[in-house]
Amino acid sequence: MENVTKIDIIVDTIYCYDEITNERVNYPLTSEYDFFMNEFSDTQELLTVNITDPIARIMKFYTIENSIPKSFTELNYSDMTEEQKVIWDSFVLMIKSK
Amino acid sequence: MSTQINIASSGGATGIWGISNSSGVYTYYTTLTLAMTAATAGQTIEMFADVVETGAVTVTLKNGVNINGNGHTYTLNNSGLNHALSAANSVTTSCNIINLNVVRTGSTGSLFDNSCLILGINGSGVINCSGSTFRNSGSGCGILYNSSSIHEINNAVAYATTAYGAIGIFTNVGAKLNNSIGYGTSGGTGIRCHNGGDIQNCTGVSDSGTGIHGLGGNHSNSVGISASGAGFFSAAISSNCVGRSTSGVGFDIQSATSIINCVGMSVSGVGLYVLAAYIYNCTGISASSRGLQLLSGAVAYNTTSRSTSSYSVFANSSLSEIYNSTIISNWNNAGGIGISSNNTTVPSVILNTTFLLSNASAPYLFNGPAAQAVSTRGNTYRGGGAYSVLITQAIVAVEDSQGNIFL
Repeated sequence: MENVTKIDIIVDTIYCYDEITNERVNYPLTSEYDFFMNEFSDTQELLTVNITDPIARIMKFYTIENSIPKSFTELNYSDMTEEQKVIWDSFVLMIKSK
Repeated sequence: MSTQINIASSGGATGIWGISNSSGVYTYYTTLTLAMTAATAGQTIEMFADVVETGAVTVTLKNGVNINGNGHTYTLNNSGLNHALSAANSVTTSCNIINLNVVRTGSTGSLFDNSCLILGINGSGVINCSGSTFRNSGSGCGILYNSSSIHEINNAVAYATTAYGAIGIFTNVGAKLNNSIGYGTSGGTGIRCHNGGDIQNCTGVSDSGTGIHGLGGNHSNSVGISASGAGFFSAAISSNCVGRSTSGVGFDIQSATSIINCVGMSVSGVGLYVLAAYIYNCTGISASSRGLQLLSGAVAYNTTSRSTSSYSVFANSSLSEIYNSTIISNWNNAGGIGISSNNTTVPSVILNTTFLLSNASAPYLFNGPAAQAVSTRGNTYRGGGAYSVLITQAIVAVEDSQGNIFL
């Protein structure tokens, strides 16, 4: 999805959104994304990749009840290690090329 | 336990379906069709075991004849287009269907085919469904209001996988749905008001589809929930409704007639997405996206927008306006802006609005790349930074002697 602005991963599905047009495309979370999940995923219910808006980052949300998470973590792209940045870049490129 | 039924012609001493007379003596029937044929208004057909019907059978409900399933399940497993139950066209059918589970499976027909219960064209009547479920594991709806139906359904629970809805309302002449729940699975819609339908105190739930899809009708005191789709979509009239989503838009409003006292909530999606519509007394909340998104001249009155970790409002149309609202960003980041246009224009009128930001470098209004004059008056600011330098004051008039001012 070339125009993706936000990527959400819930259980075994990748949801890609263009938040301006409200368009959504889904992809199965297959083993080809293990390189990304192994680095960034843990026990979160929702993993969100903001590509540029409001900033490039990964957010993880835990214990979501009634659309409100009890906790979340935010890892900004600028705070990632160089290795993490490569992984993040590769993942976003893969999604955009689909 | 499921039982394969045999066709018998009349009532007798045995059968899964029974009708009691005034003395409490039952006459039994081997099929629901036979029991329905024999029943008269005021009587109740009771069910005493589960049934799987494999024939191309639709049971037509009779006005005043009730069904008590006693918790049993009636399954129509047939590849044809038959509905399991039907309220006939152009007649009044009022009855109670209680404690009955209706399953329609095995069909791949299209819309208006193979529902658990269809409400006929130009038909009317009130059908109370307390304790009953309508589950379609094929391609049809759980409950389908056909065109020009003015039926009223109460207390139903329906399940389906179709985008046309576990409960699909395809009539624009005043059909009602009260206190009911529609569950859409595998991307199906929970409740769909396609071109009408007054829904009250209803809940629509979907996994990746839309919880409540309100293309038409009036929606009040209802809740739409989705994991990755929009919780509630409205292009019609919605009041006192809530849309919730985990990763999609909480409340998606597009060219709606009237949106009053509604709430949109999402974890990573936009709380309230408003395209070319007016909203009144509404609230948008998001954890990682914006609370409110105003597009194509959308106008917000008395609206609250809150984001935990993004800017509060995205608005990219100078035709948009914001009145008497509260704009909150709890994001302690220079990007925790009040209203951002993402490099286009912000709303041209922003009056009597309170901005509560969390970072001193975050501008209350941010636009670009061109200069823009905005009418701002009576606003209160806390916690943020100045406007974008590209924004100037559009109000040039001064107050008259009574304190009035012309924009």
